[in-house]
Amino acid sequence: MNFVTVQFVAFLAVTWLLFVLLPGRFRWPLLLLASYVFYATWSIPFVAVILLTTSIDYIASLIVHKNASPGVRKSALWGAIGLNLLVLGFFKYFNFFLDINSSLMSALGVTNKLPAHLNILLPLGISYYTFEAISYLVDVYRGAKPAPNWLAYNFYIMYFPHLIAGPIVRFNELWPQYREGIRLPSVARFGKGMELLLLGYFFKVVIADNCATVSDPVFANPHAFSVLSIYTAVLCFAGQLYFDFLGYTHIARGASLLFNLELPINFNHPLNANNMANFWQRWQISLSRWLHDYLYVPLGGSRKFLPRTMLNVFLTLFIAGIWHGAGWTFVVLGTYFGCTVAGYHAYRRLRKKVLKSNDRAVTSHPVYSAVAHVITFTLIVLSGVLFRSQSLDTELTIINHLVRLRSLFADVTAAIGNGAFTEIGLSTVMLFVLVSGPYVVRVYERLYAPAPYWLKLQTATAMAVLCWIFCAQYTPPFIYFQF
Amino acid sequence: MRRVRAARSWQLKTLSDRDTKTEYPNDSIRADNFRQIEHELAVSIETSERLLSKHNTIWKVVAGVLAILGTLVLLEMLARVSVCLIKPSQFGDPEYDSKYLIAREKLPAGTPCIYFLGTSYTSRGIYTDLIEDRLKRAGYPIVVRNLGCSGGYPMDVLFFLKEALRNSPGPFAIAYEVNHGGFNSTPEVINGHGKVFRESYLGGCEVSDWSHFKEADMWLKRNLYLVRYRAMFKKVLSSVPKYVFASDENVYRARTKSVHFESSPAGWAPVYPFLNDYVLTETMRLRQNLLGYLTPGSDGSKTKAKYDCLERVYELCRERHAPLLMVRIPMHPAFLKQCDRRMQVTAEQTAALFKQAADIEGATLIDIHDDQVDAHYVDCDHLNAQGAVAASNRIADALLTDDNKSLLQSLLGKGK
Repeated sequence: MNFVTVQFVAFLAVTWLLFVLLPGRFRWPLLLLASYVFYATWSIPFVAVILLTTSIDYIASLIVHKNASPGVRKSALWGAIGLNLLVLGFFKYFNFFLDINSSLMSALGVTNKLPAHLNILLPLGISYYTFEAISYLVDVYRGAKPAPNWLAYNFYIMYFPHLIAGPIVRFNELWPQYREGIRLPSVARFGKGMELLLLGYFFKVVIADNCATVSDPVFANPHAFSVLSIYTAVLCFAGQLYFDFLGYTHIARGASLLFNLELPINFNHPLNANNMANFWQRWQISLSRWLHDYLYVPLGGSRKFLPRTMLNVFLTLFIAGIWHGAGWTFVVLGTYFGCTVAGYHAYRRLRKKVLKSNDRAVTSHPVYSAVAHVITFTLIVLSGVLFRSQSLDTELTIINHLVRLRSLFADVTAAIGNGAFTEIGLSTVMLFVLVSGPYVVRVYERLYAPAPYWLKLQTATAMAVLCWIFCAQYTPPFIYFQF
Repeated sequence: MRRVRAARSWQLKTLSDRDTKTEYPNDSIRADNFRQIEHELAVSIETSERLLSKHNTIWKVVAGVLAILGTLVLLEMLARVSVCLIKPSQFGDPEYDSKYLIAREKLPAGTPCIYFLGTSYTSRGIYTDLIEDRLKRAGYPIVVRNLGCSGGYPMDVLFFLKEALRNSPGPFAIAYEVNHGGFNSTPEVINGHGKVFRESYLGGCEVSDWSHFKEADMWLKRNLYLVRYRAMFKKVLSSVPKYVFASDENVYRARTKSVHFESSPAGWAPVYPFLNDYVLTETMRLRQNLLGYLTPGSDGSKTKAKYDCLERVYELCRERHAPLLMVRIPMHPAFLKQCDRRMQVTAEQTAALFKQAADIEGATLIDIHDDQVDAHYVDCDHLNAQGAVAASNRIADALLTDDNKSLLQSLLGKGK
């Protein structure tokens, strides 16, 4: 069930009404049931996959918790993690392995006995709930209390607002909120939830989907477009990706607040980051946090010498890249993220060595800050090209166009000469939309928060109608639903 | 109320105690935070005090409902103004609306009718009032309606036909357009369009008796422009950046740009421009991928969705024992040659294919495709007004031949 459908809105409304009518202790079981209905509308057989993996994870967590023998605990932990990764690997990466195998075999001139491709459907949200299951198992191994029963654990995994595309929550963040039943949300919380829902729909259907209309044709056939068009499309895709995911997260958090359960924030103006490491602290925060706590730190983090730190950073972000999808484009994406962030770590160490006590003064200088922002923004937008391109050929074509600055200048001059401002205008607007986040939030808080009650309601109504209009005919699913 | 005040004074006291404590004497940020919390708490207590006042709450609810309703009324009025300023159609194509009006027009019970179904070739190229007049003068008072629609999506045609039959349940015959081009979209396009169509106002007009939900939906669509023209508003709003930055006035005036048409009550055709070499070559180049009406070529699945809808039209005829006519619409000879060359069939083979299709369906084929007069075309495959008059006369002639008179008589007989 796509979040941007009438069915979902109706489902949310009915679930909320039942939630209000039931006593507190029955509310989370109701939400669990609703989550199963939500997932079953997409695929009933895959409900069995979740049931199986959650059962095994829960049993493993009990073994880890109750058993004193380190060997048994470790075996149970690694067994369960291995099983989760095996399921994820099979559904998500098996075809990619078959592709590699097929290419290798043909290169070596050996007869390929394996099939070239299998018709495997990816279970919705598998990348996210696998990470949540792993975090739960590791936390229990590290000494946290396991869920008191299977249902409680199952609710943590299945809770529908965060099931499909996060935010990745930890058990000890969600469990205290429903341990003693769930109370009804306060008026303020309900209002906040509605506000997040509306903003989420606005970001998705008004901004992201309209950006897609500009970027999709260009990414489908970049050869047919001018350099200026490609620049516009790349900027629009950056906007599409950000607002699509931000919209999803807002809807997830807003829907959850209606049920008085708070999910963590996932974005903090990532396009305003001043370096790539900072970008990962602002983009998909729950995933970054997971990667940091369950991958980067166990690998050694930054406690070791610089080359080792760089390797750890590279490995962590390489895995983040291929976690997004199976294909060479995602391998390139992971390598790109790994190299840029590891490169930044090396640069920072060098800078501190050279500047010594002047480091703080230099980095806080407005010119340095502006240059850092521009470089980081360019790198982020470029990562969008690697993320969006369907093939390495498309990636290369687009990058090849992007580096032709002389052609860009010629296109811009010609466009101005002909009075065709559409692409220049769109690019300028997109640039403004992408970087003005913090200022817009500030204005929003200053103007909207003190506004009279009736005016807020009127604005919300107008926004809801606008979103409803933009949902007409067809609304593409969220980009991250495919992961 | 007393309890809230007590809580307020206690919390403010606690905060001020914490603030004056020297736990963080040099930490201005912490002190700022305390002040902020104090302020927020004061605001929230004030708000809750107000909320607790029952009188105030009722007024707030009333004001809230009024604010929401007022905004909706305002938006609806804005929608009505917008619809007046631009051509009103949920597809951005007023032709659909005009065809829908024709389909909904009620005829007296038992009135016999011939429905022409097809693409823009039919919509523009057949003057049904002319045919109707000719039939009437020959002693066959039969109503003739043109339900052809540009774009040529079979779902639309099927819908228009169903709507017409619902409103005028008299005896009828169907004249179905056959040609090399129209209806030849891929299943993706046809199915995608079908979805758009089903969700649109026209699609929603097909109200089932059992569905109160759909009736309510239709009531909204009939009465609220905001609901009815929702898809059009999306299209217009999505194009705003294009309008804002475009220098070419044709871009933003395209929607209101008037084109000179010679209108007919049930059909229309553009008078200008007449066909010239450039238009002929250019339109032939553009149309070359849209061939294969009866010859799906190597990709047999390409036209499956289309055939499903055609099959439904034939079924409707069979169910009601209605005669079926197939009308092969005129096209420019140069274009026909190109079609035959691309589909690797000769003109004779094409003619035989159409005949074969008509025989299978038990239909009467009216073949008027061989209009070779340049002045009858507006481009390689659309007739202009002069061509439409000629084509309509030829159809009337064909209907009034001795072979087909029995068909007209049977229609009249059923009507009586």
